[in-house]
Amino acid sequence: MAARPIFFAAAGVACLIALWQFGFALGGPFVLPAPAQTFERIIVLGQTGTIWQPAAVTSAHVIAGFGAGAAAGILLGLAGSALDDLGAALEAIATIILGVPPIVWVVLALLWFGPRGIVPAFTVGIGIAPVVFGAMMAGMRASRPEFDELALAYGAPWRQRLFEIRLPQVAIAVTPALASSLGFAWKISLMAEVLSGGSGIGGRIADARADLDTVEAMAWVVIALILLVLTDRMLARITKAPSDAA
Amino acid sequence: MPPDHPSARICLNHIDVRRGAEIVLRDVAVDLKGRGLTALMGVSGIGKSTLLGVIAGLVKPTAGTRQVDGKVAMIFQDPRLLPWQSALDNAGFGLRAAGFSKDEARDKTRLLLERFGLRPADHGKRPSALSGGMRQRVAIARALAIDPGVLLMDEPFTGLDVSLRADLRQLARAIVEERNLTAILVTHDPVEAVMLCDRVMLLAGQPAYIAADVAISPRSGTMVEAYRAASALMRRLEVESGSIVRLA
Repeated sequence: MAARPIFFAAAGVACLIALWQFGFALGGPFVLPAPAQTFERIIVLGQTGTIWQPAAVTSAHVIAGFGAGAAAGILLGLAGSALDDLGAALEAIATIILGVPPIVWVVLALLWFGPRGIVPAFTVGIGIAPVVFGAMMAGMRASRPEFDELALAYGAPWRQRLFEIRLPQVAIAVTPALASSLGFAWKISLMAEVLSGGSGIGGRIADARADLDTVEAMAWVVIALILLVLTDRMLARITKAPSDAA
Repeated sequence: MPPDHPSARICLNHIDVRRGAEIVLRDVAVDLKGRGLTALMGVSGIGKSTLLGVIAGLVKPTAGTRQVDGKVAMIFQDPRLLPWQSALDNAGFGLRAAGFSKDEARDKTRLLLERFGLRPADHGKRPSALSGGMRQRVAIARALAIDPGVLLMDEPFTGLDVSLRADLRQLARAIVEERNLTAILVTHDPVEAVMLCDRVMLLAGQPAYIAADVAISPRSGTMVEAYRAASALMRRLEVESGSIVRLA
């Protein structure tokens, strides 16, 4: 990232923290703890090693759910675009699944699986699979026929057609869906953990709420946000189109 | 040492092509052998691109026989470069299709791109960072990289500015001679035909057939000669086809 965008990004974060400080001054520590107090608690959590296990558990839920949901969405999208009838059936199913609020999936998953780690991962997976599937179908439909003709003219084998022509076109549609799904995955996972308990960040937020410890709750929220930004950057690096350098 | 393709040949016999209920081409016969550039002319929508598609194996004829000896390369009206690949990798597309690795394809196309006026600094650029002329040069390099015996060009100079057209026309002619290619150029421009080509085939009628096939000798060197020769060519085409020739 160039220096200028970094400066403005930092300025945006500084504005948000200033607003947070203003909210603290207005509502008091019980409503919104001071940013300084929250960051101090994060440092304490880090120094005592308390931060790592919940962060690892929630990250595992997000990665497992996101990976499974994205893989299912991509594979079903490929199958649905290859077979029109299957695609129509899957699109109807995806629309129905998308219409079900994530909170309902959490409740159903709790009933089906009990209060275990699979609940957040399942909720994440079922939440993002239809989004990725829809993007995959759109990407496959938007493929440019002139590139298929080019491949035919040069006798390109299926592997080259797939990796050099079809997938790059699909990636243009799927990459934004994956990026937005990742943010969604963190939100769903935290919500599922808050409701189902357990040892992830959401479980710690639920504990802090029960103890009326707003500083602790806010510290875990900030930790989750930092992890979200880190995974978002990692995804952006992985899905970035090949460099201009030949 | 330029490659030699003495056996390159395009031979179509009694070719019919249908699109749905419509007959696009009827009883088309073409026999081209050895080095030479043939202009394929005719009114828009008559079936020129379809005929090139038949020769390239992209369009399956409903009747007739097609025999093409030698590798076929095609240059389209739009350069048709993959936007997510560099100029170098676009130029190597046909080589990778032929089984060369990415590195081998890059090694083979580097010199070709330089020969066609792309500096090494441009090789890594995506098509969106190249000018229209450079994009078409990359498309020409892509076609020649596979060392074809038959080169098919579907209005490759359309939409380019006058000086760029002149440069690319000269380049196309030089390539045909250097590489001993059997080449076909689809064009609407009789001046282009008399300056570049050795022969002109006129596609006319409904359904279309080869209505005239005339040799051009000698090719025009100057624009004044070319305009005179183009006028004479139009008369010859009209006499041979027995109808008024429209090309637009």
